[in-house]
Amino acid sequence: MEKQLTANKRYRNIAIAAVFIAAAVVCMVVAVCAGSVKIRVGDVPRVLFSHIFGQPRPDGIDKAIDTILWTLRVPRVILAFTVGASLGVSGVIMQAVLRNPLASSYTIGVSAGASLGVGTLMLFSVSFPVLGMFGYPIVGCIAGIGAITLAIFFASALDKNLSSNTIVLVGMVFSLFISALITLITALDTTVRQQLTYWQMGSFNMREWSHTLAVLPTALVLIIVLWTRTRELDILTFGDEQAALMGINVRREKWLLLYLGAALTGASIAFVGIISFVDLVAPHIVRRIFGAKHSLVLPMTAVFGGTMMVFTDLIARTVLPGRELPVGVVTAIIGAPFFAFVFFKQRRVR
Amino acid sequence: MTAPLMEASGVCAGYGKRQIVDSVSFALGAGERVSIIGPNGCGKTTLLKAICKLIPLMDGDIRLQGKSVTKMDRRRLANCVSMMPQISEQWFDFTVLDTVLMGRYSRRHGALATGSGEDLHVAEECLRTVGLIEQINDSITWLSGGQRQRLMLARAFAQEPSIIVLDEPTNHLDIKYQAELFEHLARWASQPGRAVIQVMHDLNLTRMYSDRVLLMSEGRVIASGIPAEVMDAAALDDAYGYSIRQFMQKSLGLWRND
Repeated sequence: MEKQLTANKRYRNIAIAAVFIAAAVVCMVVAVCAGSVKIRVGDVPRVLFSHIFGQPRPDGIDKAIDTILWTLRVPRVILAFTVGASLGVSGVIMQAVLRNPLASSYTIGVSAGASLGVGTLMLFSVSFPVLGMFGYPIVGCIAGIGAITLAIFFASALDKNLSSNTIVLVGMVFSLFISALITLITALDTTVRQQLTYWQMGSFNMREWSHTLAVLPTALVLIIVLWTRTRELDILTFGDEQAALMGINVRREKWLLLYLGAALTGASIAFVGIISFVDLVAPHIVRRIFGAKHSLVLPMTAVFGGTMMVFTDLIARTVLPGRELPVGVVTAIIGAPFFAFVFFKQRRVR
Repeated sequence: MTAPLMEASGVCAGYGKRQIVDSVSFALGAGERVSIIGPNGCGKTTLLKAICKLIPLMDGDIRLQGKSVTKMDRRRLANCVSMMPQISEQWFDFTVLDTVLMGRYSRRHGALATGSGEDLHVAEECLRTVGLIEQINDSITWLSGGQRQRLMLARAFAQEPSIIVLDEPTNHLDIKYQAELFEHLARWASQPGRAVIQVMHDLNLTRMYSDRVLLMSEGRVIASGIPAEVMDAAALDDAYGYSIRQFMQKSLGLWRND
């Protein structure tokens, strides 16, 4: 009987996972078609096919449509999906390793730290020899790792046990401090104000293939590496002592996971700025549906986070005709109340 | 005589620079259930943590089947010793089965290894032993304190260690489950090559369910031997700074009067 239940649960999970993936595809197609210039769904595969296989432009498709689709919308949607997936996965990691439902790159200040690093480079128009566009996500990774190291260094100076509450609290202070630094830069140099303001709120506007192709492989590699650590993630949620007793080298594993998670955040936001709440909310929703097991939660959060990002970006660019909102504002408006709902509901249950 | 499963010699341990356990030596033979008793703060839990390598040794050595714990990596150690932990806060709602399967971690290699048929079989067997097989698909956040405690025991069994270490295992358990827990442990330890070390507060349970007792006071073992010998009124009174016999007789007297 128990076996039957286990099997039923597996089928249920596979079915829901299929729905998630289908929803992701539908959402991406809608996002590619919608906008100030409407594109017919039927044209999408034809245009994609012609570009991917180097064929001439298909008959009956306008050159403008072809350009909008291939050079603006498709790279933007793929970038949004990649960023959402990365943020979601990094949230999964932070919440599991720090054993705290409030942990995420956004809340512990990694997003702010990484974006300060990359943003500063962008302001001074630093270019990278050899690395080219890859320079930015790589700097993002390094800045993310630097930010989480600093955050945890400060946290451990205050509290040797590095309790999750301390980490989250320090992260919040850290975020505020970095926001203050960014505001300071804008106060000193008013010419960069608009750029930095947008950067702090995150946006996919004007992003093109070169950005997408720099972020996508970096994120993909990091997500796949993290997917191989899901058993360790499961066990780490029981705390350091129990994890050690079950055979995990806790110190090494924790830092490895936190660094990879922070690097993933840093890489993904390298071109788009700080995007709030996706990394906090997506893992919660996925866990409520699939349970806690990370071998399923991690990939499904990638799918869900990506879909969520594509969807919010679609809202950001279509809700006001002729204008575009920073996507970080949309994620915060949707994400903050939703998170409060999930969080308090969970607390009531306990 | 066969070699002991575990041998502690001159163990000194503590936290930071503060030494708590002071040159403790004892051996644990196969089939033995050894209880460590003593007043609060005498170093019982610290000694357990040193055995599980959760804290470093300041001096002395602990050998498991002849090999020093300081030279063992965590995975290898987990295959020899498992500890039934105190219940901790957990808001990740793993299922009962997933949780027990985590006990198989140290026995499975490779990042992509998933639960094999054998792991599943072991996990189910362990759950059956502690009477949680009906709850196998439940979320652990639904379990009562007592059920969680038994789940932790099942996970410790699933590691298939030669030694199980318990720190006040009867917390959260009512009397029936206390008795059952020790019966599970007795059955488990009766298999060849296994032994139990338990830190105990309840002296009645200690008397009933130990083959040998170590009485600790101020970081040292002040008496060791069979329960009847060690749990001598004068020695206990001295260690606890309280008249244990009087207390026990008073409580028994109340039962008689009822």
